[in-house]
Amino acid sequence: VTRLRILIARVRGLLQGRAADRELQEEIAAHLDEATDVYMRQGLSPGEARRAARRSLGGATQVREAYRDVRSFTAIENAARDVRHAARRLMRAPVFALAMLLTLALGIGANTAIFSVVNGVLLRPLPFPEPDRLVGLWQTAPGLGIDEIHASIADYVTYREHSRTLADVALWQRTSATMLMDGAPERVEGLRATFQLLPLLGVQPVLGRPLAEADNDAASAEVVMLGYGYWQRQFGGDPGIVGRRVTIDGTIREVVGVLPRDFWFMDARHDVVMPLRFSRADVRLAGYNYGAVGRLLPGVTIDQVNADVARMIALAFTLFPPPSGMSSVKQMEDARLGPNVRPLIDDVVGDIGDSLWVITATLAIVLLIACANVANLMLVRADGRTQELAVRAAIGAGRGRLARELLIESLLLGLAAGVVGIVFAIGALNVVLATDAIMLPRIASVGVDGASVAFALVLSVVASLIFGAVPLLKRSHGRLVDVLRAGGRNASAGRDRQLTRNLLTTVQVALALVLLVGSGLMIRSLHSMRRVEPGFTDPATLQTFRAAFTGVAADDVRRLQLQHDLVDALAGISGVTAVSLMDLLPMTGSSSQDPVAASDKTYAPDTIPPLRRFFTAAPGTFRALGTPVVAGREYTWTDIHDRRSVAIIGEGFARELWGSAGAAIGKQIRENPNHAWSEIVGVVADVRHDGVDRAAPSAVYWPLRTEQSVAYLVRSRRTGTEGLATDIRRAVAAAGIPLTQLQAMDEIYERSMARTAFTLTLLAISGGMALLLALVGTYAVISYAVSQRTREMGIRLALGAQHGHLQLVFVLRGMAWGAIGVACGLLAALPLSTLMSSLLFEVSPVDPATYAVTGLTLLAASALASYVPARRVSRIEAVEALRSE
Amino acid sequence: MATAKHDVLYGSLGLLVLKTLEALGPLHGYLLARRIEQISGNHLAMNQGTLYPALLRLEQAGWVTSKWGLSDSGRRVKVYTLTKSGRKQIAVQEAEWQQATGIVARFFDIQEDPS
Repeated sequence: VTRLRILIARVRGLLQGRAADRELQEEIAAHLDEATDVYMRQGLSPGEARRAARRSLGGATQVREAYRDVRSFTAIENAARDVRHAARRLMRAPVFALAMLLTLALGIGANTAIFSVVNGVLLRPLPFPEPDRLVGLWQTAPGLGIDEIHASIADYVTYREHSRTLADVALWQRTSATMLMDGAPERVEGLRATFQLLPLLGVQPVLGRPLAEADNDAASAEVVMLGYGYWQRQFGGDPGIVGRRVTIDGTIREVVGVLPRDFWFMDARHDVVMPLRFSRADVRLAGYNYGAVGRLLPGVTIDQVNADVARMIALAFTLFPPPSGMSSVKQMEDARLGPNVRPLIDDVVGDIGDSLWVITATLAIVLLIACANVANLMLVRADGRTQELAVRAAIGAGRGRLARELLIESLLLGLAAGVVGIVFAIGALNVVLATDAIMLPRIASVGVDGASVAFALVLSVVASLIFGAVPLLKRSHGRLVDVLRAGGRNASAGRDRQLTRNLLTTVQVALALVLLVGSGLMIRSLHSMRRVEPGFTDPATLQTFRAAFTGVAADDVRRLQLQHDLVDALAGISGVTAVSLMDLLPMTGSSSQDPVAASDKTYAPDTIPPLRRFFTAAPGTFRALGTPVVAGREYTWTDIHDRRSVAIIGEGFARELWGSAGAAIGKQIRENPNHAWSEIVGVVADVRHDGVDRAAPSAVYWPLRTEQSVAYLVRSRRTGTEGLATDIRRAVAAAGIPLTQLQAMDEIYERSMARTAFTLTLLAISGGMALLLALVGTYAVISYAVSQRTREMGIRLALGAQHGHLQLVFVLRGMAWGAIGVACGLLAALPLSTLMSSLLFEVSPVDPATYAVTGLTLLAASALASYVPARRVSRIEAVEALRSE
Repeated sequence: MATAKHDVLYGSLGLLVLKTLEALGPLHGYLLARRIEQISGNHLAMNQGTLYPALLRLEQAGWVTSKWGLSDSGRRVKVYTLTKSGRKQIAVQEAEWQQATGIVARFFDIQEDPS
């Protein structure tokens, strides 16, 4: 109890502070007066009595200090006082302090922002219980030259029934469908999945039941689960939704449940989740069209599950018949399927990690440069205080005490910058996330949170120690007597500091060069990408949208007619010069590929011919896209409606098999031994279907047959205008078809370069910041050198030196250090830029032009940054300079 | 000088203050210091200033209270009064002190081993 009482009393003492001091003073004064009275009564003179009273009291100061120790927590009070003093010292030169604060705040803010992104995207675990036990069950097929293929239903059944390492496994697939809402068709996106998906992820529906095993059986009644948002939006959150029937793609389905509000899975939209249905008896090998997600048994490693999957792939070959059209599993074995299991989070994040880490590294460099700059400014300040500190040291201030003051100053500055930096980071993230330009995975989980704040504060402290240590290290050399004697004009100590400053500037120049080389390489990459012929022309005048012909036609013939009619209707819109359709627009993630055999080539029995990418084209597709027809012709509507066995192939495919585009015309190909041969009637230029930075795939464009969901191409100068959009919507609505993804081809084209552009933008910003800081650093150093040597210049001028010559001395000095910085930077950039080679496109990471231009630019910039302050030399008047000190 | 003066034994000042206040009633700082010196028969030499941190410590523990009042000569002074828990504390500390001195005393009583 007593201890507690003491603690409370001391906390109160902390608050009372000065009032308590005053009381003590009064008490002691009274004490002395009383004592003096007593001594005087004993016969001493007033003066003697006073002295005697003081003597018997002891040192008043010691009493006060001992009293203070008791009164409260001395350490806290001292620290608070130090902080107050440090703040006061910083505010004595407000511009200086503000410059340092902003420099640091920018560095810390940028790093905090990128940390928030890296943390949200790469580091934070997936929002499921025990997320590290979740894996994506991929496979490789080196025999087909494919690194990553999905799983088949045969794999799924095998995994479920024979696995030794998986607690559970589920298949899933993205899907889109047409839901009839009050008779009006509406496009919905969602998932098809086997029943274990939700329990495997640990997710419970908020309403109704999850999918059940029976729902996956092709013979069961059709059901659907609704996403929370879709349920709220379209059904007003109706609590009686379970049991209602909805029409999706012409099929009536019963709603069995609603997903929770925060349900997230692989960044996929989920208006609806429908069961993936199959019949166990009909399962055959192949058909690698499904994502497989598994939950590992506790303690199982990726290596163990890989071994298990390898065993089960072979096992599946013995359990299921080969796919239709294949006589034996021999062909399957040639694909040399193997396991490729990885943590599920890698499936989400993909290769965005490369970009993010490079950006993180560059921003860390920016912060280092900022620290160097602030250290430089601190040194200048320290120089100004040399005398003061020396005097204080002379009258007994300990070295530790002075060092502590400097360090507290640095920490105060660093933490203040950290707080401002956090504000910057929040602002920057809001701006960046508001633009759709960057397609970051898991973007919903990116934000400045507790972890980001903690990171910013730790960064502030680390930065403070870095830039605070430099003046501290420089301090301990100075010999007291020398400083005092030199009256602030200590030549040798000054030169030592000047050297430190020059070295710091050199480091800044070198680091800036590294960043600028990085930016330069990205600029060259983007430039190369823009020069690539994508296989289509003028994407800015090509309007596109998707239309779903599901549940609107009785059969294929009727649907083809509807698709044809819509082409005609769109062609009637004013300002439209060409209209057509295809299954998938270039650069929108097509992946369908299968082997194709040619009739005039022989293949070893039971081997698989090389794979080609499959697309579907219609009459006028290539004219609308602007893809040159190299040989032969496009399809005609007669080809389509009469179901003629014809094909169009890409130029690369034609050259590979027959040497030239022209030689391919009239040759026959087929995808499957059971199919009829199709005659090649046209060869078109290669299209970069996978994005400008990927090679054009070897492609076959089959004629439009059974495609239900298609993309329309409308070539018009009015592309992107509201008027054209309205006209198109009206025409499509008149046909009774739901329309989605209305966008100009330009947007798709730009998006394929978005990651490069995003990385480039951030690199360019950090490069620009680095350049600016390095220039300011150079400027400050030369400027300071000029001011320090004004007197010397005066003497030299008096002795007959020319202004121009003296200026040149300074400029050359600045350039010499700049050159050293550039040289170091070039050496450092070589290994560092190879780290980012995965982000580059058709540019070598050691591209000589980039290095040369960047180096020369920085040299010129440092010459300029030296020249500006050096000009002040010309204003020095010999007489004045000599008189100045 | 015939009798050497002694420093106040470390940590015992608090007990001396409490005992003095118990015996003489409320006192202000200077008087308290004088009385302690006088009771010791002027054998204790203390810097009177050390009294104040000690008084503050006692006050924080709740064993004495202080309030501003007037001295005999009419000066504004802080007057210290023993509290109830202070009185109890004297008993506790006295017992501890007796025990401590008792232990030390035993060491002086050690006889040389007779054998």
